[in-house]
Amino acid sequence: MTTAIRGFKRKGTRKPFWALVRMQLKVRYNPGKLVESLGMDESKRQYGYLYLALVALAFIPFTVMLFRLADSLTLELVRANQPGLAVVIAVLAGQLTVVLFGLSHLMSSMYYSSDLDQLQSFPLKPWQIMYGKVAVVYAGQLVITAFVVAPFLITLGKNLGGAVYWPLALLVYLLIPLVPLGVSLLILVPIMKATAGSRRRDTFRVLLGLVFVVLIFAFQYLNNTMLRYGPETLIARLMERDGLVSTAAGYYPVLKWAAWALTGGDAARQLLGLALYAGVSVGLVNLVISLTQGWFFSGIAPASSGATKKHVPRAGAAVARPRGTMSALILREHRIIARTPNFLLTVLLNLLVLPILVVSMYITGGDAIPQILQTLLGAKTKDVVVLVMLGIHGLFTGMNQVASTAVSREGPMFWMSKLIPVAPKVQMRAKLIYSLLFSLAQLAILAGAAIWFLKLDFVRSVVLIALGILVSAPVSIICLLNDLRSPKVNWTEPQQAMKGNFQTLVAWLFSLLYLGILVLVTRGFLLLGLSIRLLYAVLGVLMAVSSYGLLTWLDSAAESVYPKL
Amino acid sequence: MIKMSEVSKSYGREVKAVDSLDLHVIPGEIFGFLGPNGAGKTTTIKMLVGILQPDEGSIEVAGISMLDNPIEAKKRIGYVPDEAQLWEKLTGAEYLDFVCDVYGVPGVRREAEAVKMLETFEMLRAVNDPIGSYSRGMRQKIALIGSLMHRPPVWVLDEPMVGLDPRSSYLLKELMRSHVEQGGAVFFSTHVLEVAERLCDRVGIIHKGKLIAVNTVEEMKELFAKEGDKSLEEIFLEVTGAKLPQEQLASLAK
Repeated sequence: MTTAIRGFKRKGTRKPFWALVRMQLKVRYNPGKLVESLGMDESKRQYGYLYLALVALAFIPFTVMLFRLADSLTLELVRANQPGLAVVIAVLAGQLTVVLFGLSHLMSSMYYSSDLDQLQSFPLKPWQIMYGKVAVVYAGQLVITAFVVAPFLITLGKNLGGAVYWPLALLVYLLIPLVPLGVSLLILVPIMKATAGSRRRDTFRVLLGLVFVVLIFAFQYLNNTMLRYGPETLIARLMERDGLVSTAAGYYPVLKWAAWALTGGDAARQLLGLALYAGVSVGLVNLVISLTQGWFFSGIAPASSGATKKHVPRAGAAVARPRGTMSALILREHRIIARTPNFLLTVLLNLLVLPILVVSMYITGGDAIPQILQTLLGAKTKDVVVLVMLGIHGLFTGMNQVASTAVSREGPMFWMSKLIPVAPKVQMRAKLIYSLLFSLAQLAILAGAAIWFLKLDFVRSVVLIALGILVSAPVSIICLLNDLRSPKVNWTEPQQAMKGNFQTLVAWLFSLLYLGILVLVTRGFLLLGLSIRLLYAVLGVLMAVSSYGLLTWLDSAAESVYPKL
Repeated sequence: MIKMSEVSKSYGREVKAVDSLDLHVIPGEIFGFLGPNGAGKTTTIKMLVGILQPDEGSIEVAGISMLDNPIEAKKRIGYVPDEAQLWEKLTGAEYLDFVCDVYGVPGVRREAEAVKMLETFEMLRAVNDPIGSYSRGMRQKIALIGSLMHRPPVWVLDEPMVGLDPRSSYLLKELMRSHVEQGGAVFFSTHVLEVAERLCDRVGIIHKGKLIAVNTVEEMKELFAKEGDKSLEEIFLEVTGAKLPQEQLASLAK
């Protein structure tokens, strides 16, 4: 019996480039992959489809709402003789969406793809591989941007009228992803080059994260400082046809050209707009690909293979110092974090989240921080500061991801924890101690800020630190318990263990529940007008007792769960 | 068939993976490429198949320069990497179809060719399943079949036996022998020295990026026969300096 081979071309041949694009589209957008991205395996594929169908249904009301909103807006803009502004909004929204999603798609399609070696061994030209990869990302971006762009372009066409509008609108839409993809490539490829080699992928992600942070700050800063026009200017521009287009396009003329292409008024202006918009979009992508092609292919070279290093470290030095089991386990926790750039960045961001928030709010303007400071400084009693800071510390401990990913961080090396002759409960306690140490560092920053900025006196500072230590324990144990319940140890990239770990959110919600009980107790005390010292004592006892109970639970859970993992 | 002249490749300033490598493989020859871990085998192979560019030197495959005309040179190679990273979401058939497209195998020929190879390696029943569901050996087989679909004159196989069951391993060895008998060439790396000893017409040993010995197995044995008859394994351990003194072995095994 002969099995029929499905999906084989039986006549002629495909051009290698189109075969590549076709294959990459299959690999990237096949339904199984979508289901897998929801965290479901092949066997639950039908549930995945159902889930996707429900998600699509859930989007219908939103899409209808967006269309109605866009319809009203474009109608008013047409009436106000400013139809181009609708195009500016559509193109800007579409391009920002591409920046948001396209960068990560480009990363996974180019940097994290495991097929580059194989593709290079095929008789394909480098440009074919690079264009093929970009084309697949482009196709995905077209689908995503359709959700934000279509409502504006379709309703504008309806309200403007004219048969020529539709093919031109389609062309404008098709060109939307090109400029942001070109810019994203320009950011990505140099970072790829700088972090060439599979062992430095994590550094790549960290660098890219930093670029993102800088971009967000820059965008916020520009948003606050630029494009501030007085009412006179705006009214004057409003009087001209599409006068607001130039104002809205600001320093980014691509938006203006796209608007001209669709609402330019006369044919010459429309043609000029289209030529400029299409020329810059297509030209930029081509230029960037041709410029970065060489970097890209040299940037992905596996620097780790075939290593004949000149410098050989003294092997004995690292193992010469004997340690106790607990210190060795804690040191392992620390090294896993410190030697994995992705973990380290996440942890540092968690540690510095408050200072970063304060600094970013100062940089990007706004008066929220001074208002909060004034409220706390003006409080009748500084006990309010202690309670607020305690609450913040509890929240941040639940959020910090050190405890909530302690087991997950071990990832593919978890088998080692099952192998070593150390009881699981001892291993979990080591993780708890490390989490507590980290939480203490967070507390030190918070208490320092309270003492320095909010003029907290000595006694209350001691109370804050003591209760802060006490609240760290139960919250950390809750997070550890949650991670132990469903650890993500089958990750292939470190970011799946921390940043991409949905369970950290669940752990945080559980810790919020615990903190909610403490808040209720506090609220009750305050309503009854009972002594604040008594409240501190009750909170302390509650936290100590619950910590003990939770620790006992953690011990027994570790013993029963470890063998099953 | 394969001519590598003065080929060098460095990673950064510190690491010289391949150092002035000269190597010729003639038609009708199975060439075994041996070396300890990290010796530069995979880097050499990646340069040979056009994945990596050498810093210096030239590479020719079937008379075509890999550096000047990589597309034509690659068309003459059938390459199986040491760990075949295949697209898990494609079925075996879709993978083979894609490979045929990029190598320009005509549609009329590809099915017959595929069925023949799939039957040989007992993969016909699994060909419509996603590669993600394959075992390591099945992946190796589909990668191998894919690499041979366009009937290349030069086979470059990096650790091809790893993961294969004894039957497939035997078949592959037979195919290699048959291919060279028809005028083709096979360049393959392996850590299984018994296989190299029995199968190869010549072997080359690379160590710390340098090709330290190239010869037929028999000539190599003659060369190292001063202290009696030696196996290829013993010669390999000797030339790569991997043989430990008896006292050291004893202390490690305590």
